[in-house]
Amino acid sequence: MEYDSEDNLYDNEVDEEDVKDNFQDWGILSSKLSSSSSSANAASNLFKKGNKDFEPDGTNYQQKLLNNSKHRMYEILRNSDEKFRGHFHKNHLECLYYHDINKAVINKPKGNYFKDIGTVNRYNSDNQLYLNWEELLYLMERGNLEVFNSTNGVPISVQNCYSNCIKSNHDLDKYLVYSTLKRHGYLIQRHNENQDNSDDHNDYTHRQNLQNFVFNGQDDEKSVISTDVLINNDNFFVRNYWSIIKLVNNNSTLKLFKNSIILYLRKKSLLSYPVFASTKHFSSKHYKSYLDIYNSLQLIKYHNPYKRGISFTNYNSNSNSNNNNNNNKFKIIYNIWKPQVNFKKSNPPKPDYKIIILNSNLGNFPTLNDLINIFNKNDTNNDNDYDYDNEKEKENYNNEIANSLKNKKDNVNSKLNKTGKDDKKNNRNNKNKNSSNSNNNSNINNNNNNNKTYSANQLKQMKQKRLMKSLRDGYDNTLLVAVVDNGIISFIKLNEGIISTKILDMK
Amino acid sequence: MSPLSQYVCNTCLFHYLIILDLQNKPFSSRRLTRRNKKQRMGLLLADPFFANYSLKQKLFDLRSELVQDNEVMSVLSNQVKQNLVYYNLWSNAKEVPIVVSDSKCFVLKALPPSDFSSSSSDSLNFKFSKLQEAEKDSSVGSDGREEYEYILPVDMDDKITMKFLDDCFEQIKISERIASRPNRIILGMVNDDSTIVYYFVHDGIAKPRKN
Amino acid sequence: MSKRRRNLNQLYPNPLPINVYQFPVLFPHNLISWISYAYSYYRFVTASPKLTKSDVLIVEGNIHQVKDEQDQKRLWCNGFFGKGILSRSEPTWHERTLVRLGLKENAAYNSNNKNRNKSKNRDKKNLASEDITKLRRNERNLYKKQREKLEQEEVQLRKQLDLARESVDERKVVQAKLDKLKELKLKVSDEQKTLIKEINEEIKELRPEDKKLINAKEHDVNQLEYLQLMPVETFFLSFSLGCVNVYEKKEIFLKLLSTTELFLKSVKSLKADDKFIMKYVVYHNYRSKGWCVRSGIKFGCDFLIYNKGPPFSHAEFCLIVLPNYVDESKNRHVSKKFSLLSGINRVIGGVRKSMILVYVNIPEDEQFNRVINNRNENDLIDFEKLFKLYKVTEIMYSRWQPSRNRD
Repeated sequence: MEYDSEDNLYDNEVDEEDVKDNFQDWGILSSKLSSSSSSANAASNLFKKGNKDFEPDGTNYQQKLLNNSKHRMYEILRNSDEKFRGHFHKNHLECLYYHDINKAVINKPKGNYFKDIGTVNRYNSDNQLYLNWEELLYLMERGNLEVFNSTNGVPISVQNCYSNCIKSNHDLDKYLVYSTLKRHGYLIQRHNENQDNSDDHNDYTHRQNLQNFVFNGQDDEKSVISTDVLINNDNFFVRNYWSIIKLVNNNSTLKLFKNSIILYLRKKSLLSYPVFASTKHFSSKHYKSYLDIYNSLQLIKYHNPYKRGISFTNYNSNSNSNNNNNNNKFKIIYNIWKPQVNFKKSNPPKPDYKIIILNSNLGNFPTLNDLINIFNKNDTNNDNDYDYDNEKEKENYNNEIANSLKNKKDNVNSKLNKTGKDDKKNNRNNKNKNSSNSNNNSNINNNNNNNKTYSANQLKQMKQKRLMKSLRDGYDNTLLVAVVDNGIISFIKLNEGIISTKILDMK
Repeated sequence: MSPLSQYVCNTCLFHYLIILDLQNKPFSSRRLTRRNKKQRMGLLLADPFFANYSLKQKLFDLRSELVQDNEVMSVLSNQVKQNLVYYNLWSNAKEVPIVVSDSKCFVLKALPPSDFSSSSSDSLNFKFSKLQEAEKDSSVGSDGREEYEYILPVDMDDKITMKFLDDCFEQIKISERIASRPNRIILGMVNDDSTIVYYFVHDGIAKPRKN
Repeated sequence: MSKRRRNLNQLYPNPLPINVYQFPVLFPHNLISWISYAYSYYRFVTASPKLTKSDVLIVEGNIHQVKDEQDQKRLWCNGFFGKGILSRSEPTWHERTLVRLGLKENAAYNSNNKNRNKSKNRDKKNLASEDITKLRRNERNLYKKQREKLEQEEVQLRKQLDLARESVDERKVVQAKLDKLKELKLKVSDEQKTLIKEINEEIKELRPEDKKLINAKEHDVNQLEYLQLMPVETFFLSFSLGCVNVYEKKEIFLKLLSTTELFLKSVKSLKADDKFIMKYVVYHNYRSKGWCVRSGIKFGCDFLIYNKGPPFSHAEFCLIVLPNYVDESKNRHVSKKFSLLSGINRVIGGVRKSMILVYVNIPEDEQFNRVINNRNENDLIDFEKLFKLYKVTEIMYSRWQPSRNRD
């Protein structure tokens, strides 16, 4: 418990989780060591995980505890038995390193490392894989791969390998992030902007041009309810009406006349005052509901990721000129998938995360333009149909409710449901609407049954909860930022917020 | 000058002059119903901001406000003082005028309530190892003596530099005529919604608080 | 739970200090109900709604005071505007002080010890939030004291162990004691969560400050507290809702301020990226979307937004207001350090809220000045035009841990 928990309720939980993550318990590892000395064993019995000592209390006893722990750590690090360090004979692999392309070729890949690692050599029918340098380093570091020089067949030392592969500070950062995520079990591939996104991007710019044309440089005006929208309306009557108003406004005597009439009507409280031009609006007009009040209060424009084409121009205006300098920095480096069974590197699903890698010593947090540019480029939710998306969310949510209800009944079932839900998510991502599996269907049935028993009040609460959850999740286009500070990585997850796109209505 | 109407009202001791700018606040004749008018007049005559007070109390307040104005007490330190004394229940709060980087400001000096020490300063005085205790020539307030804290009121928009803080420690030492600089001061940051957040600033390295 | 919710809904009916027009229930077969409905519709169109205005006084130091008790209640209960200067949020200082000084009995403290355990939860509800915090702090302190005691014992035992290096028996005994103590320590830390400590409310000797407060004749305490509004709140209430009169105190004069005057008083400088304008743009945006917006100073951010309000639920989101200029090099110059943002994020994450960076697009000076200088005949600024120059963009920021997101 490192920090002040007096003012909040949750700190303790967070703390415990943190301890689990960061606390290296060498005792656990040493107990696996069959050849460990008896003294270490005795010590590990003595040392149970409990409250940490806050400070040195000057007793030998405390000193001894510390020494035991330290001793155990050294024991393990020193112990270069085949079990912990060095190569495994069973899965030993060999590869040839090509200097000029900074890649390696592996001839007979075996073992289960190659789910995401390596690219198949298309021109060679033999069982050959190309390894990118970070993949090569990772396998070598793990003790799975021995690297040989392609020109003379001489084995390359570990040190040599590092210095050959890592050519810049940014490369080092990249490798640190890559290896960290690999070690945590994620599936990672390089993000190839040209291959992946060229079609998408072209399509996107095309779409954007089209939209610019349609909306004629009107950026987000549509989202704000105002008279300006009416002016642009093509309705003949409305147009005429506004032209009359314009005429009136231009003629000074008519204007005076108009003003006096309006003044009279307002005094008689037959006409309300405008919302923002006068402070008297709400004492001159009745409202039926709070939704109406909120609608009349809409004033500030907001970024709406669901209507990307419209707001896109705002951010692009001068990023082109700057892009050349920073293009390198704010580029997606890797695609990341959560651990999964059915992964095919030849035809990978939509990545769960995309990551950019920054060094905290070389700059500050990206600017909004940088971020929005990346978000815009990588938005794969192609159809801008807002309602469709909402509908999907609803379904997902209903599934969740069904799951949580089932959870209480039995655990096994709920696990099944969960995988069903995950499948569903993937389906949504792939836009394979047809391939819903049986598990899914059963889920929907379930929740239909459940729905009948909910009271109106419960439904309202559920709706509220669902809304809150979708607001907390943000727009479904996640960007990870790995910030490397002298070898220590912290990950930030960024999403576009969608809070402003909705009005909370109490009733 | 815009047309102003002036109402003069006379309470027992003080003459109030309340000016209502008609241009900014046009009453339409219809809306000024009798009740409304009465309300308005009442508002003007009876000084609405002390509506809850008895008349006597009102006058007392006014007098004290005027006195405070004369004392050139900064608004900021007044806010912090009030918060300390009546919200956090500190006592004996006094202003200590200091001059930091050529400008006058106030530091507050006050006694924390009895349960304060157990939560924050105790862990500070909680026995270090014997060695360190020996090194410390004078342990602070360990004998249960009442221990004053110094609070520096700052505005949220103030930019505080190391030099400024250093000067504060030094100035407190000078104006309080104490042998050494105080161990720590407390920054009382005043937000525009009247929330005041307090943070310790130690003169040098301090042992972390045990949570 | 739902009963409590209904109670809250009655206490805090509206999310803003504006009343919604209530139509009578229409029974299709009843002619009279048709008539009353028609009449109320007529009133709906023609009559002016009753909007009671509250008075705000701006005193030196840009402090926005609401002193009238009715006004305070109106602003607090309808949208949770303002903060009692001597309370956490709702102005309850007077009440709390009466109880503290023993001038008034509080049900929570009055119950005798036998009932205390049974009615513990009920009592807790009656307490002001400040008292609950105090209770929690007391629990924590008690726990710390217990822990300290155990730790001292432990050190003693360890020292004994050091001394008893030779005799094996003695060592065993001490070791057993030590193990027992360790278990006890763990137990204490577990129990800490459920431990409830009574507030020791024996009235201590009154401080001289308290004596000054007491009005002996009326058996009462002088009211020192008022409701303070943030400048953005006052401006919203005045400009958007028109439900406050804002006065300024100049020596002994009171001057009614127009919206423009209030605006000019609130801004530090008349620039497009003035902090007040940026904050107001964000404040207005979320208020107009139905959120309750309050200061986020305690969590190191600019605003907290609540779904309905503080009594209903915890705040969901923490907002940090940042500028986004047209000039990209300026943006790079003002962008925040990673360490700063991650620090704030850890604090916010600790209380299970989401952190949102709200970027405000700053218009170019030329555009801004055109609107500011183009006043109407009454020398008033066209705020509608002004605020339409701005635009907000939300970026959600959260910590991501590889070990937590694998499935």
